[in-house]
Amino acid sequence: MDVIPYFLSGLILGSIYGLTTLGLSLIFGVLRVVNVAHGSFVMLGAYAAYFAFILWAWPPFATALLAFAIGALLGYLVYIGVIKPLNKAGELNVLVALFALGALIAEIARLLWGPDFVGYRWNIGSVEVAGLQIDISKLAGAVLALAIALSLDLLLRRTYFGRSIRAVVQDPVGAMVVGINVDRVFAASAAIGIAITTVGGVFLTLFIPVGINPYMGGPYTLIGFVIAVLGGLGSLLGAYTAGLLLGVIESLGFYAFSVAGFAEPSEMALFLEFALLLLVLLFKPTGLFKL
Amino acid sequence: MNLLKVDNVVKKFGGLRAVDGVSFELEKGEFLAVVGPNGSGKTTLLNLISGVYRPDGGRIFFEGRDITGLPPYSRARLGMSRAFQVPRPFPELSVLENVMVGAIFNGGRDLKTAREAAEEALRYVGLYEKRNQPAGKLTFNELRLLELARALAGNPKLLLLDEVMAGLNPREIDAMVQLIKRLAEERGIAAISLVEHRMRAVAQLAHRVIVMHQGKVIAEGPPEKALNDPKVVEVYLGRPWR
Amino acid sequence: MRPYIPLGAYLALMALAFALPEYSKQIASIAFYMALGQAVNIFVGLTRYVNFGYAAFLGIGAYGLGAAILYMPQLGIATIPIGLALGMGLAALLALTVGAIALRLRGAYFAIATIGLNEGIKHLIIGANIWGGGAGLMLGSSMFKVYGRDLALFLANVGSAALILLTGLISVLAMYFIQAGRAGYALAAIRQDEDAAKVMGINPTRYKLLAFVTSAVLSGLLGAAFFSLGNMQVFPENVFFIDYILDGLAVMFLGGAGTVTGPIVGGLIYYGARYLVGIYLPGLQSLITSLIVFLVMLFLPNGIVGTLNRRSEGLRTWLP
Ligand SMILES: Nc1ncnc2c1ncn2[C@@H]1O[C@H](COP(=O)(O)OP(=O)(O)OP(=O)(O)O)[C@@H](O)[C@H]1O
Ligand SMILES: [Mg+2]
Repeated sequence: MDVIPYFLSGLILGSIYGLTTLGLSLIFGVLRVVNVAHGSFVMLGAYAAYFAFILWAWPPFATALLAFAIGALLGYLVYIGVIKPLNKAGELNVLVALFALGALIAEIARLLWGPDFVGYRWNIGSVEVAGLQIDISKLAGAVLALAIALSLDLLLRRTYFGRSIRAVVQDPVGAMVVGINVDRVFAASAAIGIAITTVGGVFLTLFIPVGINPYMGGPYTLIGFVIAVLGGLGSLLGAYTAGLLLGVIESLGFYAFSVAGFAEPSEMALFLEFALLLLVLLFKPTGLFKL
Repeated sequence: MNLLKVDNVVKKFGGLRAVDGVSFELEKGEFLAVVGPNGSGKTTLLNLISGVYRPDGGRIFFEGRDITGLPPYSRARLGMSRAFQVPRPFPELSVLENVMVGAIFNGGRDLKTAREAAEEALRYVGLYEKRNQPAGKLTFNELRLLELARALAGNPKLLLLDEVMAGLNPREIDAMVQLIKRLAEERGIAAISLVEHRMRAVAQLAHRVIVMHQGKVIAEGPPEKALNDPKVVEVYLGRPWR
Repeated sequence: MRPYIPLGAYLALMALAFALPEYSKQIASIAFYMALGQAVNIFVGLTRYVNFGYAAFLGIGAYGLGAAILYMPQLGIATIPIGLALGMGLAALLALTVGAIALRLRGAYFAIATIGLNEGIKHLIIGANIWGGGAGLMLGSSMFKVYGRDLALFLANVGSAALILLTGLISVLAMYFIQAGRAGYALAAIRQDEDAAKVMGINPTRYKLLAFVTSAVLSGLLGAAFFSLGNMQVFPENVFFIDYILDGLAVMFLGGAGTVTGPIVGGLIYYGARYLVGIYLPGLQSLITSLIVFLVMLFLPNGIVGTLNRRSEGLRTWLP
């Protein structure tokens, strides 16, 4: 059966999708803010991987640490400069400002790095799994993404910081009363959330050897939202699991549309994801998983 | 036929049974006081009746019709009006416009008749002079009256009043109680009024009293009887009410 | 509230488009931004929900007229009203579908649903090869054949400008009548306290849907007038273009969200700003647009007209 390779490669890409969405879900869970600039931070991570590889021959997993630091700094600035001052004015103002910020970041990237698609290839061999040749880099990326998702979940369940986040999520006023610095929890969540999103962008480059471009974020914003809603906005393991699911759906959808004779099966796969988003919003807006 | 019938309704928040199997009936024009300590489930019960929450069990009937599944706006149109515990005006609208909103959508009326109904309701509660002020500028007592006017303008059969006396001074409370009784007598409007346990005086003016504790009804009947029920006395730390 | 100044502004520009046909392209551009902001305003300003999929309605409206011109040439000049009706109908259908699903939900979920809308429809048209797929619709030769060369060019220049202005004019009227009637009271109540509005007999989804569909239909008309008639072509990458969302938001927020006059003032300023950027900083239009929206949100969230309105009752009456 030639479905199995599609399933496997979907699962591996899905692990990266899951990682990329963790930040989106964390930020929504804690701050109740939808980060509509999501895709632009994915794009920044992708460029970081590209330049570190081209200029210094850094492997992407090393760049991930740098991307985490950059993302954390940007996330902190986004909280202090945008979310915090605008939150009182209402949801609309925050959403529009973040949307404009996302576009602004993409435009600045174009100004700095040009509009063309770039990419790199980090070849460290491949293994054969179920008749499919899989790059070791991709496999390692998928496993590492799973590890990061699990550690982040553990961090939220076990540490003092994690517990204060959960307290703020459940009852912000109560958390303030018992002496938790809510403002700091918000800032830290925004920083970590965007840091992880940027790291997700680094990992993604393993799968798109020529797909890095200032405007690449758009589809990943859509994919991120589909996953976050599928997994239940605010749920981390839900987001990761839904990422796996979406990776598989995308891959099998691509396969099915190709077999059915569509000229542009990848475009149809993207449409399928949008349709899926509407269906989930229609029937189960709280998400599929309880994790 | 009863105006309202609440049949064994249950509402859970996580593991907490905020309302735990409450049943009662209400006649047309009746003034019912629901009494209970903080957190006993009074507001939750009102939210179940007005449709803000769906019950986890039980049914609610209005004029014989099962309304358990209806959204709040449909219930409002059947003749239920609601005043909130903490007044919730639309702050950027004027006092008159606030009341007009109540009149337009509950009564299904055009703007002109709605305006007339709103003006009448404002005269009734004594806020007519302030009709052109933004609602955000009113005092607390005036906001309470605004809530009442908004509820009245919809020409309701049933008023749901959530602790509308809390935070008022004795004179204001007296005026409010007189207003509610007048509504019942002159217009046959029934009212369910939530009353904090300290406001014994208010509860005594009702036709009937229900006492709630931990989501359950622990006593029911005419004010004197219900309020002096041994179970009720016990709930309040063995002390009879002030 | 008296809408005479905003209506007068559109009528004056319309007179100008006929009197000076050689400037009709510039007038069409100004009018496009004004009408875009006005149509966005009808939904975003009145509900304070944000529609990030706005361009999808421009696009679908353009495809409606484009398909009529290309596939029903036997109808002659009637392709125009029929195509416009088709475009607006498709926009309404799309808005009804998305709105019925997503407007029941809180603003955050609605924003999520719409952010994929634009891309989703684009992917469908390209992926399933509908209406020319990725290659789009080229209308020029068909328009020349059906209408004759002179009429086709007149339609593309003056006709398109006039229709865009008409869209803006209708948007002003729609905004005015929605606000002056029952729906205006309902939407004002929903904006300020949705739960309180609900127990007062207001069905929030219904009124949000009304604003959403109205905004979508006018956007469809605008897309048809601007792309199909004005440019004589419809490319998916052009019409489903994220920048139009930012343009609309920029115009509306510059002028003042929820005001009737705001998008006119915002449209004039925004057109002027783009014109200057085009001369002195060519290639940076999109960057400046996103910068404008970002800065306006941070420092002038009520916009120019909105801020002035808060100062004086008289201004509120004459510049609603
Ligand atoms: N939305 C909610 N989510 C979770 N718990 C709730 C919610 N609303 C109420 N509760 C809980 O249900 C219980 C009953 O609350 P309710 O507000 O109905 O009481 P009440 O009798 O109106 O009290 P009060 O006199 O303070 O107004 C309380 O323990 C409260 O904390
Ligand atoms: Mg209460």
